[in-house]
Amino acid sequence: MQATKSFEQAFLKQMLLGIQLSAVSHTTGSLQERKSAIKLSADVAMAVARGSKKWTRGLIASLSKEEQNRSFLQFVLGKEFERPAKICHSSWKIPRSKNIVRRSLRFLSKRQSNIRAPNSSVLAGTLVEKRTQVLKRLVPGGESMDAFSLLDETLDYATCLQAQVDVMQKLMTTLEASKHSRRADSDAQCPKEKFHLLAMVGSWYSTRKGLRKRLSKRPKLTL
Amino acid sequence: MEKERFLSVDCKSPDMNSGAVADQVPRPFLDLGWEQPVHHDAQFESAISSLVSSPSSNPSAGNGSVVVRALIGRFGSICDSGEISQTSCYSTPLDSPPKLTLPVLGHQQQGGGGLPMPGTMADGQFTPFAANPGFTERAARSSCFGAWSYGGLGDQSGLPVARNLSRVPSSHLLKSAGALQMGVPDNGKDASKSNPERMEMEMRSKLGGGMPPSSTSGRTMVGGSANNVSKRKAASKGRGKESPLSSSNLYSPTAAEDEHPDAKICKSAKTNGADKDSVVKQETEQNIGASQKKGKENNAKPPEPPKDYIHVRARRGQATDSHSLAERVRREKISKRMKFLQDLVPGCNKITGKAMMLDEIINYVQSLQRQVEFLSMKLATINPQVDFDLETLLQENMHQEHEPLPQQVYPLEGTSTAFSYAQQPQGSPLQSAITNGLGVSQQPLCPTDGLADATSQLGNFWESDLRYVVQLGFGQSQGAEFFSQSLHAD
Repeated sequence: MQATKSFEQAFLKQMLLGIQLSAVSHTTGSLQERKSAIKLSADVAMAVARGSKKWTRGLIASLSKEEQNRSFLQFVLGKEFERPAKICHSSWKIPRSKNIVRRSLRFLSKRQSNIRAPNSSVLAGTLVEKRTQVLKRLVPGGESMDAFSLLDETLDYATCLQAQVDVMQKLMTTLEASKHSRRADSDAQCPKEKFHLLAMVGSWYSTRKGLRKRLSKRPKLTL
Repeated sequence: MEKERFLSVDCKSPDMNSGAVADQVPRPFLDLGWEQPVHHDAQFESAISSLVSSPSSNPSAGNGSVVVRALIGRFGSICDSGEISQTSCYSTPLDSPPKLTLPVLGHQQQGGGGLPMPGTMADGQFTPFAANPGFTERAARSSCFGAWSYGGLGDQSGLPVARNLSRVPSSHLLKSAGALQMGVPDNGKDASKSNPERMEMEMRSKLGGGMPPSSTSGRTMVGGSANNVSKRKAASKGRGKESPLSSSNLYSPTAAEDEHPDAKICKSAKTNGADKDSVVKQETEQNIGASQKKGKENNAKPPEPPKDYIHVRARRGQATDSHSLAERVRREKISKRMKFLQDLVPGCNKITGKAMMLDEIINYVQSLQRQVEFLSMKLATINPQVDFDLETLLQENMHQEHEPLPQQVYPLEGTSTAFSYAQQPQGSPLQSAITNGLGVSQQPLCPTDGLADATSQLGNFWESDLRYVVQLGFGQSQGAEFFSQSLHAD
C-alpha cells in the first residue's frame, strides 16, 4: 500500500518548515550539522504528518532525548510535545498476568524438554524471536509493543518511511533540476515555475525577513 | 489496518440507530474483502447481516422480534441440542414466527442464495435449540455479537422478545456491555437470571457494546470489530448449519475456515482492546468452547453444527487446551499481519515462513532508514542559490494566482493542533508551489502512486488527492512541461 498524496504533502510542508526553523545555513553549519538538521526535521515531519501512532510517539520521544533537539521539537510541536514525551516510556511493559506468564513458561519449558533433537518448530520459534527483537529495535517505540502491534506498527512505519524517501528524492531532483536550469539559462526568460522552485530553495535558509522576525520573537534555536 | 477499517465502519455505526442505513452495514463488510478462503462466506455474511439488520430496517416490532427470535433460534441451535433444559417462554414465541422470517429475509436481497437458507435453518432448528446455560455463557463471553443491530433493537424498546426475555434494565445492559468490552466475563456466570433473560441481556449487552453514544471511541472500535466478528461468526455458523449432516470429515475444513474469520475477528478485537483483557476473554471463551465441545462429543450427535460462532473452535484431532487455542488464534493473527507486510515489502511474494519474512521486513526497514540518512546528507550538500528578488516577486505572484493548499487534506488521527504551525501564510505559498509542482511531476511518472489500495485494510485511511493537487497547481500543462523538461535535463 502506498501513502497518500496528502500525507506526502503534509510531510513535505512540515519538513520544509522544520528546515527553515532549524536556521541552519549553508555557510555557518558543517555538513554533519546540516545533515542532522535535515534528518531531524524530516523525522519530525513524518511523525507529525502521520498523526498519533505508537511509533510516532516513540520516535518523538527518542528524538527528544537529545538535548539539542528539544528546543526544535518544542518549537515545532508546541504543546503536543509535552504530552507524547510524558506518555511514551521505552521501559513500558505490557501488563501481563503473572499466572498466565508462569503457565506459559511452564508450558514452553515442558515442550522444549520433550524435544531432544532440534525441532523445526522450536528453531523457527527462536529465530522468529531473534528477529522480533531486531525489529523492535528498528521500529521507534517498538520495545514496548507486543508482537501483534509490532507488526502493525512496522507496516505503518514502513509505509511512512517509503513516503519520506519518495518525497526527499523528489525534492532533491527538483532542486538539482533548478540548479541545472539556472546554470543553463541565466537570463530571466525562465518560466514562472522555475522561480517558484528557486523561491523554495531560498526559503531553506530562512533569510527571509518575515521568518526572521518571527524567529527572533522566540528563543533562538541552536542546532 | 483492521483498526482503520473498523474506524471507517464505525463512522457508519452512529447512523445505524436511525435504522436507515442498515443496508450500508453489510456492504462495508463485503467490501472489506478479507481474504476469505471460502467464497460463500460472504453470502452468509450478507445473509446474516440482512437477517440482523432487518430489525433496524423494519421498524415494525413484530418483524424485528421475529428476526431476532430467528437469530436467537439459530444461535440456540448451535448449542448442545441434547441439553434442552428449559422450555421457557423463550421457546413458545419462537415457534410461531419461524414462518415469518422468510418474508422478512426476502426483503433483503443481498445474500442471494444465502438468504433462504437462514430461514429454513431457523425453521428446522427451533425446537431442538435451547436456552442453554452454556450457550448463554458463551454468548455473554463474546463481545462479538451483532452489535450494530443494537440500533434496531434499541429503537424497538417494545420488542416482544425483549419484553419477554429481559427483565434487566438497559442501563445494566450497557454496563454489562461495558464490562464485556473490558473483557470481564461476568455475565455468563450469573446463574440467578433465567436463560432467556440472560440471552437477551447478553444480546443487548453486546449490542450495547457497539452503541456509539454509550461507548468511548475505543469501544466503538471494538464494537465495529465486533460487528465484523459477529457477522463472520454468524456466517460461519450459518454455513455450518447448512450441512446439518456434515460428517466429521467436514468438520475440520469448516472449522478451519471458521477459524480464519474467528482469528481475524479476535485479532481485530485484540488490537482494539488491551491485550491482556482480550487474552483473558479469549481464554475464557475457549475454556467454555473446549468444555462444550467435549460435552458435545460425548453426546455423539452427527448433525452438530460448529459452535464457533463466538469462540475459536478446536480442530479435530488437535488439543482443545485453552492455551493451544489461544496460541492458534495468536498465530493466525500474526500470519494475517505478515500477509499485509508481504504486500508492502517488494519482492516478498514467494517467501513463506515467518522468520524469512521478518528477515525481509527488517532488511527493508533498515534500507529505508539508510536511504533517509543518505538523502538527508545529499540534501545538505546541495548548494542552492538564493535569489531574494525572485522570491518576493514570486510571493506576490503566487498570492494572486492561487490560494495555498488547504491544510485539512491529509488524514490524521488527532494531533491537529500541532499542525497549526504548518499553516503559516509565509510558508504555505512556497510549499504549496512545491507540492503542486511535485504533485504534477508525479503524475506522469507514477500515476498509481498515492492511490489507496482499495482492498488493503489501510485503504480507508489513506486517501488519494492526486487530481485535487493537480487542479490547484499552476496549470497542468505548464507544470508537466516544466518538470519533464527539468527531469530530462538531469
